[in-house]
Amino acid sequence: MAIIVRLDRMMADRKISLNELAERVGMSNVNLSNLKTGKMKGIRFETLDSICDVLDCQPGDILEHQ
Amino acid sequence: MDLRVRELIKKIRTDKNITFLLALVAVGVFVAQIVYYVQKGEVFSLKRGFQALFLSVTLFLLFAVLQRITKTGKPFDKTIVTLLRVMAVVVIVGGVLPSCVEVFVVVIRGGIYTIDIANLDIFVPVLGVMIGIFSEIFSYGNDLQEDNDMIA
Repeated sequence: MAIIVRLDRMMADRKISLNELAERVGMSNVNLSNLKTGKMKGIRFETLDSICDVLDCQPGDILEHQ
Repeated sequence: MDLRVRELIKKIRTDKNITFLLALVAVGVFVAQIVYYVQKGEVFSLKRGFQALFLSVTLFLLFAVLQRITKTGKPFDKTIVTLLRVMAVVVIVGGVLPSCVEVFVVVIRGGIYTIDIANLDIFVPVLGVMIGIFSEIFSYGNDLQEDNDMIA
């Protein structure tokens, strides 16, 4: 897919673990891990909003089009 | 698990037990009718026996469907689709076969069987077709569920 999830980069920048982010966003570790590795087909605006809130970033920092 | 799903599973547990009891009753009726047929030789008992047998198989399949829903908490599941398809076939065959057996036994015994087209009972086979259609709806639901599970 041409959309690449750059969640790992943002998580490294913010020094936040997968477990902590999953807990703060309110989703399961498995789902977040699947999202991070690009296994998911899509992401809800609600989830994206929560992730951006926790990581203090813009959606464009997480998603990239190639 | 969602509160609505929990409530649904609670309701289904009762239905599941009732279905299992009804299936056992149907097995009992099947055995009784076959014993009666062996003792008296009445073809009608044989027909009723076969109907009870197919009914019990259908009820056991329904029990398996309900059991699966209570176990997984998901009504739209591949196993449920397969079970519903099998149920549809069983109901269709169960609606036709007992009458065929009755005709076969009467003819084998040298009797004459008249088929009254105006009084043909097509309710059960049509019910089977409807279950088949429901299974396709569940199959579509399963596709949607899989899609939804792939969205974070």
